[in-house]
Amino acid sequence: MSSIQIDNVTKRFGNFTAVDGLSLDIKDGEFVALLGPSGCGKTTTMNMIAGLEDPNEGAIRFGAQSLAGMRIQDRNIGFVFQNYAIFTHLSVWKNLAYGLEVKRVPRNEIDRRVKAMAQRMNLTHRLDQTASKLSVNELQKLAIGRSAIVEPRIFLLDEPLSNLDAGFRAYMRAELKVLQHEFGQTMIYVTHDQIEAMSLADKIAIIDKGKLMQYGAPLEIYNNPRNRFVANFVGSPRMNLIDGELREDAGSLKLMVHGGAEIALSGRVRKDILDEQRHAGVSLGVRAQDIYLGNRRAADDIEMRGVVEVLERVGPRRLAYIQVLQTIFLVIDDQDQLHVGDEVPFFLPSEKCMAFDLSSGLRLGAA
Amino acid sequence: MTSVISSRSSGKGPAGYWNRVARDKDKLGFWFILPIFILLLFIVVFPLLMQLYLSFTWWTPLEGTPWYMAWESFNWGEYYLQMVMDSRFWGALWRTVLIMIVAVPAQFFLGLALAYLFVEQFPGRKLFYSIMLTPMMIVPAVVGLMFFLLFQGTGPVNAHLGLSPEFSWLTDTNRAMISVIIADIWQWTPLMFLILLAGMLGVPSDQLLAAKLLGGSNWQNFLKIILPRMKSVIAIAVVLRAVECFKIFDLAFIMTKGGPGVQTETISLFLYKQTFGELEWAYVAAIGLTILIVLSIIAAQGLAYMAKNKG
Amino acid sequence: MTAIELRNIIKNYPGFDLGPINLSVKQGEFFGIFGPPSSGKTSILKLILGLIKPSSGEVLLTGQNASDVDVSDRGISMVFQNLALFPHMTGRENIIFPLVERGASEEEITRRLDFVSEVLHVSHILHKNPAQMSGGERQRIALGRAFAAESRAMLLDEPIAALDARLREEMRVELKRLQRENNQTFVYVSHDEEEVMAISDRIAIMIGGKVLQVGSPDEVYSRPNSIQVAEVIGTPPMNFFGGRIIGNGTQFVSDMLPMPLNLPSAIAKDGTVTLGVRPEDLWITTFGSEGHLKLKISSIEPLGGSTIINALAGQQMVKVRAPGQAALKAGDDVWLSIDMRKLHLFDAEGSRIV
Repeated sequence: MSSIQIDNVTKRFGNFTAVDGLSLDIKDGEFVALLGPSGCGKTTTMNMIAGLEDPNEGAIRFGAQSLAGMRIQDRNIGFVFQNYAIFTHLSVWKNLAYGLEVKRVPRNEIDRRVKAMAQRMNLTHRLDQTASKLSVNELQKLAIGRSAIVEPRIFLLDEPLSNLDAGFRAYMRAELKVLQHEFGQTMIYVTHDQIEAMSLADKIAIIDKGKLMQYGAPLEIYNNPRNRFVANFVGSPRMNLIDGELREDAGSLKLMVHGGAEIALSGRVRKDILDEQRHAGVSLGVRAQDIYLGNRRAADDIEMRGVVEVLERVGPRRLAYIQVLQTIFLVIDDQDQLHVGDEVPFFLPSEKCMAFDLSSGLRLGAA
Repeated sequence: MTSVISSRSSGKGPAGYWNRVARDKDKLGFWFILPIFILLLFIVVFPLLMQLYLSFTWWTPLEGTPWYMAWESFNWGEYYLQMVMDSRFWGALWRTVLIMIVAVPAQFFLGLALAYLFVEQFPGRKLFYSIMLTPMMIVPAVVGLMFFLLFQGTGPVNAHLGLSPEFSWLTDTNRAMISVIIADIWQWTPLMFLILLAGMLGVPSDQLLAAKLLGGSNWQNFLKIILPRMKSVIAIAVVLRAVECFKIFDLAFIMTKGGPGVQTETISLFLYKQTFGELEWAYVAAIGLTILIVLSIIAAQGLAYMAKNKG
Repeated sequence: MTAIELRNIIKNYPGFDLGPINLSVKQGEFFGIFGPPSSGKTSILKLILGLIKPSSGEVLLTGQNASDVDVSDRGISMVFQNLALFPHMTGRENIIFPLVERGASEEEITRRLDFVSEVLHVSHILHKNPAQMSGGERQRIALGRAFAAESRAMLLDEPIAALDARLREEMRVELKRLQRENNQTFVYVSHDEEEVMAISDRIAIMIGGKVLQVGSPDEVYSRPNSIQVAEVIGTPPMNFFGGRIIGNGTQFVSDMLPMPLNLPSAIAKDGTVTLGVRPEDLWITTFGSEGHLKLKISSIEPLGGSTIINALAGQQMVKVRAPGQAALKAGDDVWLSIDMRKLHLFDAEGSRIV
């Protein structure tokens, strides 16, 4: 069985709690990304699955079988390290064959499988070379091949693409996806790069300070973040999060932004806030892609006015930093119409705005 | 922004030269190395040349002439011939080699096993580590004395093994050798242990983890990952120890004085007796030089092996 | 005013020649150098700084030849990739180090320290040791140290490469703001294409030791002068189709495409060419029509704001960036349309035609 249950697991290192009551249910054959900033506990979690660390509390199971006390050698897990941990003193062939040799697989079968994997990974011309001579990209492929060849039921990958250059990274992302479909293994992928997680995973588990923030499919997390941390972390460019205090003024609900601006809230986001109990501090969230320029599209949409401070080219798009008093809004300028210094009106579509409680971070309103 | 470009470093003349030297790493390096180079010349090269010179003469201190006049008794290398025909020389040589090929491998395997135990942290590791190193800290002559006392007919070893005082270690033809070898192993295994442990700790731990994750047992990983990566360290340890072992003197001298008869006379002991007994210093020079050449060739092989296996 | 100029610089290495390089960086400019690893980018910085000497050519600082000028006299600060913070010193001691070395007065040291720590928001960590700081904090201390001594230019060698993706985005904005507010000249080296494109006023693209193109990010993105530049700028990378120009320069045919494409304007060249189209200039439709290339979707990358579609046309992988959240999945059949206004044509040698 290659489904994984992480059941209320806690791991402490001295005074520091790396993982705090984490529970996750990973189904057979799923590609799950553990996403979070450095030090959030994602690598520790993966190390516990692999057996490199033991949980202080809670349990990890493969299917019905508990992992407690199981030796690393017996877990039958494929593991790709961030720096590959290739056996640099051995040839590529020997590296690929290692997992099979230690199981005493017959010679001719080892030969067959090594050649097949080398071909799959495009390393056939390197088979006889010492692994230390390979380029970074080839090392990556070798690391994956070496783990895949023993047909583990579960694959763990620790930020495997972070050392690669951007072009190869894009290529490997597509490759990994295809590989996973082909082999059908359960894959757990640790990363701090949300673009990587979004593009690769079936489900993303967002972790911060050892706690699970949200677990769901990429688009679900993107469209319905459950708390402010998730909203800020996922999405490129990052979501505009405007913090401020609420004030009701003769029937209208205003957000008094910490930077001085005042935003009159209307439409759905107003309803979301008012539906819940009165909160003092609120964070208004709206994505750069959703903010629009030009003419008002819906009566409920919130109108703002600001000065274009910076224009950045991010890939195919132009990103504008529009300043309203002390607050900066990120807006996509997809018509290439803005110039630095322009004073422009822009609109926050009320259907797409989200509100978060400032102290707890929780999303206000129905998800 | 005012210009801060200066031009003092481009001057000609002596001040300019030293400034340029200070900037050029290679030139600077040469001047720093020169003093020690000169020192080495005196300490190593000069005595060696002197030895070479003497070995081709009949000179002894008995003659009364100063050593640099030795050319007067030039002998075209007859001493070398004498050495080749000297059965006592060959005996000593053989015995020394015997000690080396038994003691060094024994120390190596013992040291390796002990090093493996010390790789992982365990309670009391620091304490045991210090204890482990003590034998090699003791002055060799004192170690010799220790084992001399231990291996006495009426000593503790015989007592513990329940052997009669008649059962002699140090005066029996074969067992004398064994005693010396045991003493050497006891004293120098810690050195092997030290070097091999350092080599083992140098093996990248994540590669070991990767090997475990691939299903390799501890023994398999040891053979396929740890040992191969220790090749140069092993070469250093073995060559170092072998050369030192070849020169073994104190232990043999104190424990058995080379006896019974010449049964434990190592090459160093033999040379010692020649020097202070027979006073044939030129002969000793010839033998010494020959041994030096042989040992150098062995050591060079070891170094070449190391260079080849850098990884 | 030209702050830094490299004239005909050549540096010979065993097995690799850097140059000839001709570059000039204006005063107050944020100049980016982008290229794959080992393309010589770091060497350029070392040449400007004076750590290495060119085999031939000159390095000019504000118009003056700097060949005889010592590293410490050039007035250039550098932030290294591994930061090289002094581990035994506190944040404060690290930052004021260059000033102390120069023998600056107490008053000046305090003034610069206050300025730098305010601008970089590091006042609250000045007392810590590097080991006690987070990656982002160390980054800012390293920047602070480079900023402390007023220098004519700052060289940055992938200074934020070691940080998390999210933190990198934030630091990028900080760096740009710092540079603008102080009107400093920055030379910024990175192998992260998105980052260097977003942050620079002008970019030099370096591949294999040579500068292939210099221009503003917009220029380099919309008019790459060669296939080499086109394939490294833009994520996901540009799609290329090999083919020929026929019909007196009016049509493009390819084995990849079912029908010839009518070019918007006539091309002077005939013969073998390569057509390049960026993923965002391609459209996907789920209904087929004659003459459009049919593709099978291999995988989908839902990024939230847009979707990357990886689709196969026979053996060739085509990448398309579709706006929003596309309701497609692997295995679907789709048809490709090309935005004819956004074509890039390259000749047989790889240089731009149109």
